[in-house]
Amino acid sequence: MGGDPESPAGDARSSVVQSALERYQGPLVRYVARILADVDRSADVVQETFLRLWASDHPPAGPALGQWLYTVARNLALDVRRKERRMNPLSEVQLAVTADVGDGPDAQAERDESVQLALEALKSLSENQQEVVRLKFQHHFSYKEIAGITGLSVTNVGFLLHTALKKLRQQMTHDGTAERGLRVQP
Amino acid sequence: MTIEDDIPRGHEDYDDPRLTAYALGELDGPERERFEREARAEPALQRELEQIRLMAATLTAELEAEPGPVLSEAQQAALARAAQPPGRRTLRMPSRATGAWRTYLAMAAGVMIVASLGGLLVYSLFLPPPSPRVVGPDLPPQTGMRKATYLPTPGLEQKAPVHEGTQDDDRPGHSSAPVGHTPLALELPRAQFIGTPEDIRHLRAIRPPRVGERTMPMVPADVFNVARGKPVTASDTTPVLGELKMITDGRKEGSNAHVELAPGRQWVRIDLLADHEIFAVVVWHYFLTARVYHDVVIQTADDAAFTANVRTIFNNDRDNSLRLGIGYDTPYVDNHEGELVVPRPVARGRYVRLWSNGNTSNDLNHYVEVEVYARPVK
Repeated sequence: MGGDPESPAGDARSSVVQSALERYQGPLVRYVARILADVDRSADVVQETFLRLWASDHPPAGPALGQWLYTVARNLALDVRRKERRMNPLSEVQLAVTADVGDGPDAQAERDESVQLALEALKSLSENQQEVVRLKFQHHFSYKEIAGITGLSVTNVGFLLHTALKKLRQQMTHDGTAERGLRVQP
Repeated sequence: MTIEDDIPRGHEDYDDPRLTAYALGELDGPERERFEREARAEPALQRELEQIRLMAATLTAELEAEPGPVLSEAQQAALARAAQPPGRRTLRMPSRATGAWRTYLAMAAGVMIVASLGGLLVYSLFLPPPSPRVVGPDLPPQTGMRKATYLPTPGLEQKAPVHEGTQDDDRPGHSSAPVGHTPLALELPRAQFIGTPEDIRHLRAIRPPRVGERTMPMVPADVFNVARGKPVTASDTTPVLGELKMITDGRKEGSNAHVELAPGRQWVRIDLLADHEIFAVVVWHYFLTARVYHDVVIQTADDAAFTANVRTIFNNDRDNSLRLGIGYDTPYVDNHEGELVVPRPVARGRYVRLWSNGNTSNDLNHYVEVEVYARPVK
């Protein structure tokens, strides 16, 4: 066990774990839910991840903390998936649909279509590609951190991201999305 | 990072992972410098880099907007218990969903949608449809809008721009807030809009209006606005309106309290005259009409050239127009509260530099006030 919980060091650790929980619990559940396709199991895995952070003899700090949490959560999730072979996609009930604000119905409908196309395009990527794309653009990790989390080499991460972006660009341009929904400049 | 030599070299057809790595800010040293040289000399390569960055910004915005799983209260409580010392934990979270739990989840999603629509209703009160296009009395006629479309992030929650990790929770009343810290207190100008605001409802990915009071960070008692009266320099040495010293003069009220800088990419720099521990930066752009300033980047550094100990504490330059790196912060509508940026961990430096790149009403850049809450390094 990583220290006496009633000692000053234990209090300090409690503070670190609390901060980590507040910052990472949402992103971690989101990340793990993509691996397990099950919100309940994902919450279990994230809970176990934080229990392991508590139990760690040398808990990471600073920027290394995020990578550590994602690595542990990923390994736990893959263990669960191996055991249960649960590959079902998230159901509509399990996903909370958050409504956008600030647009009229036409713009909303157009954007919904654009987002659906983008997310559809993501599905066409390999599982490895989808994971590194999400770690890079949804969870904002560097190549090196993604390599640490996934066990891939930095070179592999770079290659997967490059090919993923290339494929997405091709698909979305082909779908016409680039002309409608992806332009930053008017 | 370094992409090793087993990746095919040459980007004649731009099928080179190093190009993507460079566009995403992942190359260092000589390799990055070489790409920079080549990009300057090769317009087609520049276009390719912009396309990669655009795709990256699109993915970032859309993945941030993707609905995520929502945990039940029971699950959240179980997670909170996991962060408690072992002796204080008593219960484990139920591991499987029940029929009642799924029903609850569906109800929770419905409540969120209703709450979001409520927010839209409140927000629309501040954003009446544009009929005659009118600007603030001291602002020039509107020119063509740049970057009028942000990428979509529906459902993005209002959040304090807290950056770069946190080891301490300094929310007011939180048990871990250090002894002797007090909530940061700001003097706010009156909330008001003048004229008929520009219609910005078509903008995407702007931060929705906050619900409830703004949470102020806890700061040591000896922290105060050290920027007050400090010298200001800028990329535009001869402002169109006002003087640079108005940015730190403490005056935020009135329609002529702002400085107007030239169009496009511009920065202002405040010299705090000594090294400081910086706990918060608050910036008021022109806020009397609802508008979004583009590419807002705030940095701290030890030297005026921003080469030593440079920290970017806020960046919403989603397409890296400023070439300072892709920003992941959210564009926002300026208002009388100012944009509060809390660097985590605390930043340290002598200089604070703020960038912007025009706004949704015109290409000009405006500052009413910048405050830097800090204390001298002991």
